[in-house]
Amino acid sequence: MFAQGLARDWGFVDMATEVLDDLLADGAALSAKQRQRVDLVRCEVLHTGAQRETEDKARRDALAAAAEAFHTYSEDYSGLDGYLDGLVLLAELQLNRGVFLRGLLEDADWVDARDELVSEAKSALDEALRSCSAVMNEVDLALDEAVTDEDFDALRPQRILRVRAYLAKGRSYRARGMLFGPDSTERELDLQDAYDTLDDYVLDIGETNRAGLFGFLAMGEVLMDMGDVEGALEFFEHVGHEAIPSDPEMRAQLTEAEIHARFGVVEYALRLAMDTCNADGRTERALEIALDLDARRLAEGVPPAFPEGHMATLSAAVAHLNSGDDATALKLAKEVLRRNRTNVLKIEAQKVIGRIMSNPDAQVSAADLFEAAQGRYSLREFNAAIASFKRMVRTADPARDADLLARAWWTMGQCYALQGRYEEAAAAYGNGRDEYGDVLEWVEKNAKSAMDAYTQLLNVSGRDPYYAGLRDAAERRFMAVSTSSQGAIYFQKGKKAYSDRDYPEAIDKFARVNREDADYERALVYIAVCHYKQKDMPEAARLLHDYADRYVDDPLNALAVEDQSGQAKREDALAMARYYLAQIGFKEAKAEPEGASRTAALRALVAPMDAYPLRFPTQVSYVPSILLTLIQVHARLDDIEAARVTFRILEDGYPGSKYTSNAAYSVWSLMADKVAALEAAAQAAPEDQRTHQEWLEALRDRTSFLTLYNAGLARPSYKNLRAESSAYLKLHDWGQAQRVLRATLSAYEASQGEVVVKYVYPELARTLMEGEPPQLAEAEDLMVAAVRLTPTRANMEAMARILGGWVDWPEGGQQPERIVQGTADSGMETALDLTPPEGQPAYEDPAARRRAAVDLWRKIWQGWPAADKFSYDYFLMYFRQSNCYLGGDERQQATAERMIEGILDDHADGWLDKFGSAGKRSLDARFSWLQRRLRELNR
Amino acid sequence: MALLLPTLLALAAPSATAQAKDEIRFHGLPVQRAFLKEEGLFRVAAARSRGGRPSMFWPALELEAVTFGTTTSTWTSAGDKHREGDFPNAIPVFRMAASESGCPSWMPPHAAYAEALAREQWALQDPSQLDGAVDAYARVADDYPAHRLAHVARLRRARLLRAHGRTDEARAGFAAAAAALEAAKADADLTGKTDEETVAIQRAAKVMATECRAEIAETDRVGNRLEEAQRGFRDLLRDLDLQTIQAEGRAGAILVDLFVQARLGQAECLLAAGSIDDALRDFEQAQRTPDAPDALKFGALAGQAECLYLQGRTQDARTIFARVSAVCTATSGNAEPRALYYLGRTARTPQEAQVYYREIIRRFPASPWTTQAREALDSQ
Repeated sequence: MFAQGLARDWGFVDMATEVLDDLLADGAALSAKQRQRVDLVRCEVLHTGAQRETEDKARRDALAAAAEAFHTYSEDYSGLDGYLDGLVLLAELQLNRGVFLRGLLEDADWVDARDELVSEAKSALDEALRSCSAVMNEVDLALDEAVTDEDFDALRPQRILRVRAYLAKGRSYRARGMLFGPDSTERELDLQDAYDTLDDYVLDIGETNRAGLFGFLAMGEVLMDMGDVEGALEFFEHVGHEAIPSDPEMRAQLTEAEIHARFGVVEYALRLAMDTCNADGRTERALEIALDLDARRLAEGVPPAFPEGHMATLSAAVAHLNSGDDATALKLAKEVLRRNRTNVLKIEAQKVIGRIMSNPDAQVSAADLFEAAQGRYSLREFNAAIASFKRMVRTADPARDADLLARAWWTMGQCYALQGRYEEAAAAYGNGRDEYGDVLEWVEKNAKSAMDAYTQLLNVSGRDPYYAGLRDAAERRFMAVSTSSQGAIYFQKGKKAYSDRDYPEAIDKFARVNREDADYERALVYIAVCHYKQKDMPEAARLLHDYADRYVDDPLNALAVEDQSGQAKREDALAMARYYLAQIGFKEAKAEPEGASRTAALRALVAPMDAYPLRFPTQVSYVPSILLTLIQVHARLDDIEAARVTFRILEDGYPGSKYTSNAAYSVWSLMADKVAALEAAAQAAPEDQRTHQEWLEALRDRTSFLTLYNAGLARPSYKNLRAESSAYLKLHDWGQAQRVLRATLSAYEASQGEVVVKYVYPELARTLMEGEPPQLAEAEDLMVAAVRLTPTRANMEAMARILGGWVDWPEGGQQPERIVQGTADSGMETALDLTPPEGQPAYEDPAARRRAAVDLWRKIWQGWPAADKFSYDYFLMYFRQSNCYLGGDERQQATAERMIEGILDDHADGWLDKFGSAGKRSLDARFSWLQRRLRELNR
Repeated sequence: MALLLPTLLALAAPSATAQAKDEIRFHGLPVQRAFLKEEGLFRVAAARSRGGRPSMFWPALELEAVTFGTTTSTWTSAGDKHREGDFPNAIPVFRMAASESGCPSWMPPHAAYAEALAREQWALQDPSQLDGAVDAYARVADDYPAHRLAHVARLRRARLLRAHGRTDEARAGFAAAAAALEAAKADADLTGKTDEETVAIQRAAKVMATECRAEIAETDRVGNRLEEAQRGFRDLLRDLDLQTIQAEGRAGAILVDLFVQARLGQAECLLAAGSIDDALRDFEQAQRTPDAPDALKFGALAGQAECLYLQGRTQDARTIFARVSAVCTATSGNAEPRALYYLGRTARTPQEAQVYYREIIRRFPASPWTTQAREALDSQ
């Protein structure tokens, strides 16, 4: 109920949705029935939200979304209690949607989407009709089964639903009929169905109650659509007269509240009658009805109902307007405008006022014209607003309406400025300043805005001296008219000199800001910062301390609590002062010789910096910088954990900021020693899995900071990219490594082609070979180029592996038959089809590829350095070469057999001693696999 | 032409029976006999000059509430249709109003004139109706040659022709209008009367004849007969002594307007002939003329800016054009579309230029600058 009220009565649709989402999120606290109720209310809130959308496209989308929500509701709760409520609400929604979409057909902006709109409207209205029929059938069945009065009473809620469905059905027929062409049979049939349905409805529900009266009105609307104006008027006027019975006895039976409610029906009926007369040129009759409504309002003493009463007032205004009584029309429309700030009524009232104004001879005061123009300005209809203001200027009396005229010129300037037409804006403001210099309230504003407009022009023109001249002239005019802003001007001038890095000039200007000026405290701090920028740290620190620790605390300088502007400016000044004090402190600490005093100086900075984001949470330009400095302080104090925690705060609060990126680099640099130490430890004890794991974790952690840093830069340096990719290669994170290497390639291939081919190509090829699945075609291309440029053993080996078909897969890969380092012999690879993809000329067929691989392996084997013979890598090379021979002809297979037997005879026994258990497992696995292949080849 | 005076007097003094209950309203104010005296004439002219071009006669359609027996509804109905832009249906009703038996004597010329006005507005929407409008004005002049509306009709007909490029016919039309006005003044002179109404008629005819001379020169300028145009404007400036007409106060206001108009016309001729410095001087003088109406003052300012633009002082020109665009509130003249066109020409980006060109097309569809704006848009 609360959410419903928020949405329907207060228009707080978002808030209502939030309330409901909270309720639904806390699912455990809701019973199934409550959850169903909340779901239904949610649908209703979406409908209300859609109806409140003022922008057509957004409203169309919102209505569709609301319909979808109702569909989900119907599916979820089909056949349960409350299901019919959902169906009726869905029908009403689809009816509203159909009517809204039909309205768009008359809008020139939607002319291209006409067919789409008609189809969407038809299907909405078809669904409305289906839903209404379903509800009526269900309730009729239940009523048929009811026997006693109690049964009927128990069905009261369902009977109400039936009434709503009945009326919605008649209206849906009408709305659907109006989608067809004027003389079409479909329109005629639908309108007839609408009339018949509503006629039955009124008979069923009774003619004298409010629901029946609405049925009559709907019948009148159908007659209007059928072209029977007289018939329609009869219905409207009948309801207008009969809704509140004139017979005292019958009237006495109605409560006060019911009479008020019925007066809303009267207003609605008479509004329809007036609209009909107005549209049909029956001016006198419309006027009679308008006067009748006025008289009845007086007699009943009832304020206009919302929104029907106000709409009726506007219809009356149109009737008066058509009869030539502009003044009364304007009075009524203004009354509606005054009483309502909701969009629909406001726009309708402004439309009527616009019609009155469109008569060039209409007797409209300058104030009314001003209000109308101001309304257009509020609606951001800038060109229309300018036209209206100009008309107002033409009709206003320069002496009597000077105040309005000065405001009008300022608002016209705003209209131009908001469209980026700064020259015209400056002209309009300037005219207001020059022509209405006596209007003190506005002359300064116009002068200031003219100056600002020229400042904008100066900026967009790339600081063209011509505009600098105009701006200076405008500034002089401003200074001449400004009584209170000289300080502000000096402050702005100081900031300008500060941004131009002319610090002595800036100090001179800031020093001219007087103590009573609003910007005085900020000027004090800026003066200190100017000294800081000129590297005069002692003076900067003295001035900043003087302000932050003495001036602000001095009771003589206390600000009034209600002086919010002053408080805000002081807050800014203080935030700036504390920021620069921290920076000075950091610089001073860094300058200390290494040792206890530096540590103490750094430690002293931690607490105030830690507190800064809490003390000045809105200072988004200083807080990230302070956090960065704090990270650097932690780094220098060797408190890596604290640095990481601070970094997380920075990252959460300012993702993507340059400070976050810089801080990431700081942490990366800071962790270098720790990771290097762990790596050394891991290498020293290859069997110590824990140390190895610790190293990998630290490396991953450290690398993630470098990734953040590189990601924050438009073009990361080659060195940093290489560092990042190397780290990921060490981590066997082929995906990340590949991403970084590709980034390196795209950033530096053009400028450093040879270096990239030499170093990046082989690594990228490796990631492609090791990645899942391997992308060997691309790896081959890269390695062909790499081998050509630098025929190193490693490069040739990689090339041979690609061509010869031995690929090590990463641990945890999805290919269990592949061999991985350190696994048992269960995971051995199968031979790969290395046929180059179509269009790739490298090798024509598998045989040619194998021959090339055999050649490469032979070269590698022959060139293997003697000192490194029988190392772990040597055996890997040996096995790969053997594998390659096994895939060859009879003679090569024999060679392979000899190579494998040689291993068995001479080396396998020594693997444990030489390479430890992990190395032995790895080599055994490969070796066993080769032996199995030999057996398969019957060797 | 001898009929002009009795007709004016007949309107000034409605029949005794009608006088008590009949009322004619203009701009919401009752029109009284005093309006036809000199003071009234120029109050009307001044009122019109605020909204546009001054003229001493109010058009028939501005008589917004006329109550004359049974013809009221016919008249009102035609007026309504006209206001709603339903010209094809308004025109026959005006004709009926003109021919209805028993209607007051003032109505037929007004109805005929109203028909011509409706046809002119229709022609704005449908150029094929132009000849109909031209003929309708000609009928007013032919059927009621001495009526004051006949003079207005001649002027409007000639302006209409000029606006559609038929400058030779327009020139002849203005010449005929001038001749008719001279004759009317001569007729009034011949009466030898010196009462206020006669003096008003004499003066009105004289002013309108001067207006015709300005129009002839303007027609020559539009028709690219620059020498004739320049001569015409120069003669007019010579004959209109500014100090004398300014000394006449409000009564001389229309002549001040004509003086500024002549100065502007001369400047436009010089600009078209390529004498930019001279044109600039004349535009500046026109702009500085005291009491010049806004439409002319801003017209001069726009001309001045165009001269600066042609001299290569683009930024100065742009600043002045921006002033014209933003500050000009006049509803007549071409100052604003001209300014918008040059703001488009000097815009920083094509998108910005498009905004200005589209605004000209939207707000000033009948302006000569609209064609240029369309061409500029097409060429982008």
